[in-house]
Amino acid sequence: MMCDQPKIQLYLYLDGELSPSDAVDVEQHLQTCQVCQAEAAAHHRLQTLLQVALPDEDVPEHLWSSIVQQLPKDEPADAAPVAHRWSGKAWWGSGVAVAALVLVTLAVKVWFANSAPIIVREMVDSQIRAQLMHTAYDQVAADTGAIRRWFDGQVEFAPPLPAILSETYQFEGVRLNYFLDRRVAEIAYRSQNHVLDFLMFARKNLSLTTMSSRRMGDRTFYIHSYKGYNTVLWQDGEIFCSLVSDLQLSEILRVAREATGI
Amino acid sequence: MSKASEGRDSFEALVKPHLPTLLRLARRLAREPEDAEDLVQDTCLKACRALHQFEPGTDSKAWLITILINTYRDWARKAMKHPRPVGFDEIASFYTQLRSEPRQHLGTDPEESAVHADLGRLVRMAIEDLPPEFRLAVMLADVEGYAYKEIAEIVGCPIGTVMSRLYRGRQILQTTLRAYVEH
Repeated sequence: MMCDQPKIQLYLYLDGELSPSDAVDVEQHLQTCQVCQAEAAAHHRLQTLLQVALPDEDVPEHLWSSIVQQLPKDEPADAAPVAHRWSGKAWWGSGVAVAALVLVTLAVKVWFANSAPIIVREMVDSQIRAQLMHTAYDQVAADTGAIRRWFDGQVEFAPPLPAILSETYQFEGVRLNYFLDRRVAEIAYRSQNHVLDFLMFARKNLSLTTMSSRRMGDRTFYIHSYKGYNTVLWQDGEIFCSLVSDLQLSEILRVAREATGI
Repeated sequence: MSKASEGRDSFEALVKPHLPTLLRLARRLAREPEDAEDLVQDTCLKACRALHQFEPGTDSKAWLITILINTYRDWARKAMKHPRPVGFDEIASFYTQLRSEPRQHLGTDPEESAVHADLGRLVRMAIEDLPPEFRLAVMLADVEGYAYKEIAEIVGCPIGTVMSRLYRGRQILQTTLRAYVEH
């Protein structure tokens, strides 16, 4: 039995690396091709074997304590040079040790202070809250006209509507939210067990430039991970658009590209 | 709370949750249990020293895995330990032995868990028989669930290289474990 579908395309599909339209092509091919079905099944069995044979390791008690033991000590008056395993040198004098320690603690304090911009915290916390309270989405027809009409009068801007991704994502519904003194338009999609939320709001002064960013096409996307969620934000004039999900960041960035037509 | 112990708490919060993943990878890279633990220790201490380079909000697990891989490469370069590669013959004879053992008491719990334990060992040997770069690609994709782009960033190579290493690594594993994968 022969199949002319290149195997690499099948594996791109199995690894979730294809665009939705290419993925649909492969899925359609899979429905009729037994060669590829067998290959896909064998791959899934291999993945299962690997995950079962390599479970999470039990971490021995002594491992963390011996790591902690080798961290820089905190007595500034320690004049005797202490040979640290990872420094590899024995000249680790007291002055250098104090400077290094201060640098580390300052860096860590800065990390804590900047650990999530307030907009990210608000976005993610609102999702967590909605989940805990089982806040439902409003059902509306999955077309741009109906969605626009639903939000008309609910938010003070016209939400730039994302290109609805009907192939891998099912439209879940719409919802109104409120944070940072602003009404927020929410449009939600579902892919298997994951929800992907578009959040949009209008705001005059909100700077994203302190965040990590990726440049794709002629747009800058700002990213942040917080409490297990990944967020991607971008700006369209005064309208802020964002995606929140527990999906992998690479997938969310891909959706962001698609939604903005890049 | 002193500044130093605050710093230690933050370091612990960043690093300690990922110890199981680091150990899982280290065990397949360094093979001997003590070496694997040493590798994880060196990684964590390097991470402490490089804490100021960590970008807040980015994937801390991926950052630590990158350090682990670089530490392992340093080790390999300094030739501190020579991991003895498990030969294909060894795997083949182990597998033959498994297949030829009489399968009595099918379904009895102790027997099944013994079979599963053997299968686990077989899979781990098969993984360890892969060249390190193939082994890493397969583990990061199929066990840790990273995307091609993320693997490329962690390992420090082009995406095309990730794809070909994944493809070849998986093909070799499929061949080695054929009877179990196809059953």
